[in-house]
Amino acid sequence: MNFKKRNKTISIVDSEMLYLVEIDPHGEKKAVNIVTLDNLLKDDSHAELIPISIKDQVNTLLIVPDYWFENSVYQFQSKNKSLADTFVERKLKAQFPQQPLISYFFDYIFYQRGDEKQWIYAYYLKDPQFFQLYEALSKLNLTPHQITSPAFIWKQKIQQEISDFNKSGSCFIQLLPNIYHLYFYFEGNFLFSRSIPVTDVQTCTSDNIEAITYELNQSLYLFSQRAKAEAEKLYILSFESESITHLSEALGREITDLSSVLNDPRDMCVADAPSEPMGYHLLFPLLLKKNFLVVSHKKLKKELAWKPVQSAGMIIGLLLFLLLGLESIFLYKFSYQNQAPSIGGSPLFSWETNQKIRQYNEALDVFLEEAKRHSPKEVLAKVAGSLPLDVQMQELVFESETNPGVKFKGLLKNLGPDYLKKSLSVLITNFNKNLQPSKALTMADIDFDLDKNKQNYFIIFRVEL
Amino acid sequence: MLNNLKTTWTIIGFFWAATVILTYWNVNKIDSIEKIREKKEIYLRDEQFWNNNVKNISQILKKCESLIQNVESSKLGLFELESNLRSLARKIDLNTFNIITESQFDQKEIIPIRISFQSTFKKAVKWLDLLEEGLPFVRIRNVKIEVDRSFKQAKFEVSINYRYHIASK
Repeated sequence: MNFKKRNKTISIVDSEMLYLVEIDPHGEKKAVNIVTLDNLLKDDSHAELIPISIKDQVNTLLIVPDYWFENSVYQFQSKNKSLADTFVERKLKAQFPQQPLISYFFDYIFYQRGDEKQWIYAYYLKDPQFFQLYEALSKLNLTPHQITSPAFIWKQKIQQEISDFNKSGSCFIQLLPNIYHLYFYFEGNFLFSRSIPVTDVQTCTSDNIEAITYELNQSLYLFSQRAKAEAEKLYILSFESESITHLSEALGREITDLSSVLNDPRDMCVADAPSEPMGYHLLFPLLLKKNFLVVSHKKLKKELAWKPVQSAGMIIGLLLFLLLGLESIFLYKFSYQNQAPSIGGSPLFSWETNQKIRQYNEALDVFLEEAKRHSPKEVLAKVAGSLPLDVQMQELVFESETNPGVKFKGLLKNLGPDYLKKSLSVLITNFNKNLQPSKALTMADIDFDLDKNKQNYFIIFRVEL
Repeated sequence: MLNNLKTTWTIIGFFWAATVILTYWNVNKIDSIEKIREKKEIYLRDEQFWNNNVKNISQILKKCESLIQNVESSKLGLFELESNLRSLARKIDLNTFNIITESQFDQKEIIPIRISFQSTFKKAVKWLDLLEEGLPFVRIRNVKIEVDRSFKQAKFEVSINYRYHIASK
């Protein structure tokens, strides 16, 4: 990725010539190179026609003659860009089935007319010569990023200066020493233009004024036919103020002189070097702002729109890759350092010691299990200690395995229910106190019955330890 | 033009894929380092524990070893056990001392044995005490006591497990 700012190129097609204007990153015009359009389009080996300094530069803008552009107006209610895109593309394909490339070189703007309905002003490149030039420039790696025409640039400039420019039909006349241009706009949108060369350098001559008047009248008539409206306002920018008065008188209409709103208009033809296209001197400051209507190849437009995202993605990805790479190297070394001394590092701490510690842990488990077991000696002693004096033991079973407990069978003299209850209560209290069974012994757990002689009670119960 | 766009996306995709792979690799590496450090820490603690408790560990291990009798054969072990049991009984004058080996129920290195005798409660408790103290490889499973009121003596039936290990030479 090249971070150094490169010089840019603006290419201008004028009078069958291609002017390649080199501009440095600060916007200063550096050099102008001229290539004959015919040579560029016909010659197969046209690579050497392009100066080395221009090659591989970014061709930011291509200015083509106005007549290479065409425009159409459609009524369209939605403001959805993708819908409008498809709509215009479909219209153009239907309108120009012989020129499929038009669908790559169009753009549009939404605008509202007096009836408050929404319209689309679509502008597109239609001239076959343009497609040849675009292909030739692409082969030379000078693919223009954006394409426009002088009419679009002037429209933007006049719109900025004249507030009611968008309201009606208007004509902008640019008088240059050898040529004069007529630009026609309707409701702020460019309609068509005319460029008429003059034989006499002095514009003020009666012949020239007559020729301009005639041509202007013809064009105004054409405008009224195309726009179904009159060109209400006439604007002029001339290299000599005298011609404005003469032309106004000849036409019998008021013409607004734009020289007061533009800087040094009288200078516009003097400052242009002989190798530069006529009248572009005033346009250069406007070209760098790029707020005029342009067309870009659809795919290139997509590419350029994604470029900042791609650049950001690539820079972030690369940075992350480098950082993570460094982290990987560090981790690799760190893990190696960690691993090396760990096994058998200490001579005292051998495998045997580990084995003994493991055995010790196992032994502890065994002891814990043993400790949980009830000692028969202790249990028997506790049972004996828990028996009231009037209770005689007959049978006792102590179980220490799966379900540890004590099963007791005994005799109690029959001295009445109260006595029985009292004795059993003492027995229960003593058992619960001394043996602390997992489930406390209750009266309900004790089964008792009288013997045959009805002299004694048999007592049976089980206590879970 | 579109190819250029695709190439750029491919390069970006490569960088991000590499980033994801590196992240995955680093996470795994950190995990493995963490495990190694944990292991090392355990080793160090064990070492410290060993240095501080080497005497206690030996004692515990010896005690644990005493819970299982090392014998050359199970029959020899049984013979020795019977002799020891009778010797304990003689010490406190236990009468009608019977030993029944329940070989049909033996498990791996455990032989169930049933002992029956008639004695006073006091003597029996003492015998049980001597048994627990003197023969740690014997585990008492259950004790059944039947009291004979006329003779003032009780019939004891003690079930034990004899735990042994055949020591290979």
